[in-house]
Amino acid sequence: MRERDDSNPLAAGLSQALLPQPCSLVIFGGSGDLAKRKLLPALYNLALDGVLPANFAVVGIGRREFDDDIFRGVVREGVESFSRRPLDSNHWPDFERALFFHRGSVDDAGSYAELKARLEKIEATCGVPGNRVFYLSIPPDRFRTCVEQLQAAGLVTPPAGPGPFTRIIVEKPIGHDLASAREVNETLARVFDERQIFRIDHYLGKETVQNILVMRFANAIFEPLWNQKYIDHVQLTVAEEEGVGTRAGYYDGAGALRDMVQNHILQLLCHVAMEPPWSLDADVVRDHKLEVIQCLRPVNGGDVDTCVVRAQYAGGFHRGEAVPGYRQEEGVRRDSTTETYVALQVFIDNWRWAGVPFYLRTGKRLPKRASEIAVHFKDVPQILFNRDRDAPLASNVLALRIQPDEGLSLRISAKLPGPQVQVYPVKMDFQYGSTFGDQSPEAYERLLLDVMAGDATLFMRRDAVEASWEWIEPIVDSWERSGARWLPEYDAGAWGPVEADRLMESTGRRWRTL
Amino acid sequence: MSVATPPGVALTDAKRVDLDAIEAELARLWRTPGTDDGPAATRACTSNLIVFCASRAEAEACERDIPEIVRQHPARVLLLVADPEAASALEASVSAFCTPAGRGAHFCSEYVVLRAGGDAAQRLPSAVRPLLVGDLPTTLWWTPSDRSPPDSGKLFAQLDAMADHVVYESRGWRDPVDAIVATTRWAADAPTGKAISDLAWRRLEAWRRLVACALDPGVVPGALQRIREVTVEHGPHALPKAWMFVAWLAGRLGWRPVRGLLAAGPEIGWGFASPSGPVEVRVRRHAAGEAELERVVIHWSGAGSAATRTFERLGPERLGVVGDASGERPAVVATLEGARPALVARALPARGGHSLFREALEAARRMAGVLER
Repeated sequence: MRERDDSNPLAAGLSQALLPQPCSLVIFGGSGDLAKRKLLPALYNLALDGVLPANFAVVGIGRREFDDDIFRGVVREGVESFSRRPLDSNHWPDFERALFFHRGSVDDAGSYAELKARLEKIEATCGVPGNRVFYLSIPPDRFRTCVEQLQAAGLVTPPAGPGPFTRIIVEKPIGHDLASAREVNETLARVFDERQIFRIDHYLGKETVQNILVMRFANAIFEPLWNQKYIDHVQLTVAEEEGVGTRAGYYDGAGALRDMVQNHILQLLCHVAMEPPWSLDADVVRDHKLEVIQCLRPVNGGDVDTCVVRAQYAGGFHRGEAVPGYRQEEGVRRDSTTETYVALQVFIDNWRWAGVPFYLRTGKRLPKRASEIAVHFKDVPQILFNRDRDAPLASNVLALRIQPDEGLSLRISAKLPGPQVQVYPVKMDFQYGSTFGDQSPEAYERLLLDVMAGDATLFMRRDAVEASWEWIEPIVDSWERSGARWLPEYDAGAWGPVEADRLMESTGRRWRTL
Repeated sequence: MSVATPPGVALTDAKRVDLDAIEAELARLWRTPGTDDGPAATRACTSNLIVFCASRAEAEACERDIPEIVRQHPARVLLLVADPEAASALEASVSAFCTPAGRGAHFCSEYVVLRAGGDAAQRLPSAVRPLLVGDLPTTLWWTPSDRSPPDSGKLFAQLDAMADHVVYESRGWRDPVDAIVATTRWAADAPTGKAISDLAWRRLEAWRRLVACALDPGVVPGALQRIREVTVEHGPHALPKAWMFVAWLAGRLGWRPVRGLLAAGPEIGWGFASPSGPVEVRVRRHAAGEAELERVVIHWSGAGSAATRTFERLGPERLGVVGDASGERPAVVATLEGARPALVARALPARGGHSLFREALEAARRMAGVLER
């Protein structure tokens, strides 16, 4: 979603209105897991689609004893294992030639001077005019060192005016609380202008998340109903079936609220609840999303106990196999009170949504992997086909499936065939897979291309990051003050704790079965 | 005429039916729970696709393409085969193409073949009309490529009237000049919202992208406004494609053709007036090779500087920027546009971009208007 770039009339009608510029993509942590599993396969698929700039280079940076050839071999393995399309031997050599590795350390000032010299040579070889994108796939506590060294080495160019551009990409988590988020943002802002900073929340790159706005604003039938007059409540669910796995080191210090709600789920909420933007300009869209966060009713004090449920998974069964509880997982403290599940009832205090509860839930070791937004419409009046109070009609539900089985469905009531008037809920279903046969691009493909084109629509702006932390913090603070030594539990493989069910049932509602 | 079972994953063998039994047979397909030992199949349909073929050979080629097309864009396919050499008869067969969708499921597109021998071809539109699924877009893929569709007579006009979108290919037009004029007139008269796609134009997208990126104001400021010379080289039968490429540049950059000369031999030249001065364009045909653009050279000058960019086809599905400012070696992009089924499948859902094509078509018509032969 981007406006046309009228400065290049030849760009009109191409699959992107803003063209990616020739550039070098420098990946700090280039020998790491994210690069191998996500970033490089994404770049490969972009190359295969012919949408990468012809003049392009990737430079991976890391401490491993790689050279260009070893790095290219590792990237090839990653593509073969994780690319959504198989390696194409006809096109691989062209992509491979654009891959380079620079051995260096984030902490070593000398590495940056060497990097600069190396980049200049690579750019001469590949015809790149000095535009650079730095991807920090490194722990956040290394950001400051890295950006300061980039600046000291003369690798950062100012945002305005002629000459090559410099952009920087950082991944969530942007901090672990408001203060640290501000610190990260300040660190970046000391070296980069906001226009040069691209904060990735990869959910925003998903086709189905982008489809939320298309569905709302490219169809005339939904928007008139999209408000408190017609909607009873909205459920947002991001369910993971896996346990903490190898992420205990990070996760035990974060928990579900910080790991998922502060970023992915609040972003989904923004898409569902935002006012129609008057333009698809990046800042207009982001302004409207920010307003949702600003309108969220604070959850603090006693509200935390009534509106928020947290829990940990206990041992149980996952698809028939016994699995350990969270505190038995490797790397997790035995006395950990980190939540692996959180459910919240939140309200958006504006005209559109006044009084409409939004139920957010996310957790690990739930029965299956599923992300969904379910908009529950109000019941029809208790007359006509709904007059039997013992057998009320099922309400209409518009369900947007983010993953898997991407698509959307609308539950309506229909008459069962026969002489009696019996009403039964049926589902009208749209599935991405069967409607649009080809595979959708992966989220990182879209996001990386947008960075190269300078389109920030799908990236988090500083104020939104800090506003979401500001909203989250009272909940975290309340938990810390409570000094709880244990959390409610749910069996691994169950849909969460009974406390979450009570949260809904106390309002006469129930969680959807996904 | 034989009834061939379509290639790919067929739900059932093609079954010959009477014309008035087609819908019933299609409905029966979906009530039957899968093949003998296969899983149940789900009908998937996002549009109606009418494919017209003027010969058995073309029909066989289309039957090879259709499974891949519907894999990417599920549709009710109505394949019309006009076989002038066969006896006058109109016959129908019904089947479905299925694509595995994981977990044992299949998504299937309905496939109806209507074969018309001799003068029975004139009955095809009446057979097609009731078979179109309502509320869905209808695309007519007109496969004969020796002349422009509007020059193809009454049968095209009747099928065109049913379609929201017409797909054709200009590669192979015997008289590109007259064909371009006829196509432009037809496009101009088309109802609002009607989409027209030339597969040859779609094949140009990789070239357009490469040139647009290389001459982007962020890369070479001011180049687009100072172009002075363009040379386009192409293989045999690719003149319409080369013509449309030049027309694209002219339409986008505001060039007005003032003269043109179709010299004896393989070259056409045009002179354009642009907002910043004259532009000379030469289009040259190679004696041998594929029906593709082979090389585009763009030269610009002004404000005390001059530069050239050369764009070349480096091989199947590879284009590159060579020479000056490409770096020490060609900068290469992949183009996956080659295969016809993929091109058609990508054309089917396209709703945007048609104004750009019509702009190029109109520019092409103006170029034809100044051409001296």
